[in-house]
Amino acid sequence: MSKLAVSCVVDDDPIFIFGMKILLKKIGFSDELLVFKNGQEAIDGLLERLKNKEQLPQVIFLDLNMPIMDGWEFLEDFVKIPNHNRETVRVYVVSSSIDARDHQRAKELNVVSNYFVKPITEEDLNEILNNL
Amino acid sequence: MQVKTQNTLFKDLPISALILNDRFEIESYSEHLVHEFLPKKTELTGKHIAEAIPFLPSLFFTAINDCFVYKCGDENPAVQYVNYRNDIQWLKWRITPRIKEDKTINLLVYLEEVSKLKQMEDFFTRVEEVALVGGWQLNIKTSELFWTDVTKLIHEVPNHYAPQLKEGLKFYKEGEHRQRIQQLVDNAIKYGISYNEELIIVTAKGNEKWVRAKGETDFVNGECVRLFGTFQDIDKEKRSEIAMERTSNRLQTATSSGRIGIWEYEFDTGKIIWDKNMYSLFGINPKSFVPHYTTWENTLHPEDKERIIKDLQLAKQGIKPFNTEYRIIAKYNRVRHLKAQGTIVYGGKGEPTKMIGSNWDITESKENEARLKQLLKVTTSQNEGLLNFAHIVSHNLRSHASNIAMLSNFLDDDLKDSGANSESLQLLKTAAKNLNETIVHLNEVVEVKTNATEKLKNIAVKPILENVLESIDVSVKDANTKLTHNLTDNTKVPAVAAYLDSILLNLISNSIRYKHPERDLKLNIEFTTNKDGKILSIKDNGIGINLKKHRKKLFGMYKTFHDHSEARGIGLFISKNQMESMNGEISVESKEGVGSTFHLTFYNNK
Repeated sequence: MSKLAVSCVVDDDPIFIFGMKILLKKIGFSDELLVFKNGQEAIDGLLERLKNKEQLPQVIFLDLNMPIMDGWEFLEDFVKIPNHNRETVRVYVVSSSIDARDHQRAKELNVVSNYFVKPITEEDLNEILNNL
Repeated sequence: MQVKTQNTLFKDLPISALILNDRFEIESYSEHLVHEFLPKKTELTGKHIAEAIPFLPSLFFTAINDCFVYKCGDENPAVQYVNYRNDIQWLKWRITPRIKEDKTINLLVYLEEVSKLKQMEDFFTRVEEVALVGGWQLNIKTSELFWTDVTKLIHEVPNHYAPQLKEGLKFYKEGEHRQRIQQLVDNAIKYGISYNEELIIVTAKGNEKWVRAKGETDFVNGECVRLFGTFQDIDKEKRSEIAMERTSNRLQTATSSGRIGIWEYEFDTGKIIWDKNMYSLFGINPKSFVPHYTTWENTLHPEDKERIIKDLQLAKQGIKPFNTEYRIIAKYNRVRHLKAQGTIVYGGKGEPTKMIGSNWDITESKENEARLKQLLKVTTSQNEGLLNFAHIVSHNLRSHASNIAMLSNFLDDDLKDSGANSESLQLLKTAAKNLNETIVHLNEVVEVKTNATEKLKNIAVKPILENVLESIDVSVKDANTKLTHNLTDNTKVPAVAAYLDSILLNLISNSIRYKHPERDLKLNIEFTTNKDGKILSIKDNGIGINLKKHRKKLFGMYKTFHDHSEARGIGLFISKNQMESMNGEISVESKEGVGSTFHLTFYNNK
């Protein structure tokens, strides 16, 4: 039995997804892991779940640089999802960007809980669980 | 008979003369007298002089009276009187008494009307006075020098002054002026060369004066007998001429060295007048220059022509002053940029008649401007390129590096689980970690913006220092650090807070890292100011740096100066970049085994 029911990774990098899967499984992060390859897929997938009355993920790991719809655009659309459930979702930006402007921008958004610079570690994930 | 003969002789005298007895009666007279002084032939013998020639001046009657009384003669060169024709004339007389037994028995009177002569003389005197022209003459034989009154006036000597030849030349200013007059006089006497020269004299009262000295000669039998001439006070004219010349020289120097051309354009005839500089500005040969408006119009750059002609029209109509810039096609088809300014000159009826103005070449500044713009463009695009590079490093390179780091961790875990350990895997892990860090540092370097000066604020140093110390509290305590400083709450430097934080962190970390193994770390932070700016000096008692060897490389990228496991050598490079981007400077003093001092100089606004 994992600590969370559903978590979600939005990233276009298959190696990162591979790594996240291993790490999340290792510490028993969640029972179910949703994976989307870009912002658009993620929005579509989340809306689909709402339509099917399925639970939204409690934690979303969001990459910033992605094709089609990037992390920022995802966040813009995400906050428009009209659901109480949405407000309980915690979004963590996990990006390889060490650009101070990206950090600053993420910090200014209420919907973003924290910013992790890749590579994300076991300790980071445990810290997230502890803070929930 | 004798008397008769005498009378006859007297009558025929070709001058006006008469003999008066002591009763003022005319005893005898010359016919010439009647002819000269009376309207018609009249018999005068025995007539009282006042009756015979009543209009003679009263001074003359006084004179003859005195001559009888005082038994003397009298002479007068000219006395004004009005003759029988009512002309204003001058009378010259000479009276000689004939004395017998201590008594004047009669007077011999000689009269002459000197009007014409006198008039000329008077005229010349007046002209002399008006024109301040004096006359002079030198008798070569007797060396007698004569000066007229005006000449004396010019020399500021009294009227009774009697000039001597040698003295006369000494009035000329010592040096070139005196030498010149000496030479001129010599040549005149020797060769009869007349002269006309402007020279300076020093008057009897010590005033310097410009005069025009003219000299002419009279030669008799091949020998110079007389030197004469005029002497004119031209001081005022000469001085204003000199002043004028200076002004115009200055103006000419200014206009030609500033390459400023002066022009004039007559509206109704289309005639233009150019000065020398205009020809060189337009690259036109003055000889082939057709002084007409169209000549100018033909040189205009086709793209500017319409606008300039309109500007000229507006100026002519008094709507807009002519103050513009335009391009011309000069010699060899070279485009020159000219600045032009003009003023309208109006005629008597207030109509615009011509325009006077100036042109100067601004090609260089125009080209420099263009070059600067181009440079700015290049720099801007390079700056953008740099930011793009930072972006690539930050996003793309980083993501691969982080993946490698992550995967090597997994590999390590896998192997641990299986109980094995591989040295090469450990090395791979380290390499992956270092790669990550390197990329982070590289990004930091690129991110130090060159235009940080815009964001400079007066930052209080103390809170930043406290913040830094807090963040490395553990290592500060480990090194048993004793920190002293002279910072107050008001100690501020013009900086970017994040950079100042980073620099202090870097320097203090270095001090801790390179602390002397045998003693506790002592850190002193001192704030000083000088006329150029503010200085923060961070001094430690660490192991120091061999500056002889390392000074040049100290602030370079990836140079470490210590055989020290933690030495990484990018911090100082970043600090230097950050200081420079804040318009500041970082410098170092150090002695191996004693310690190092880093000076951060924050310059006042430049």
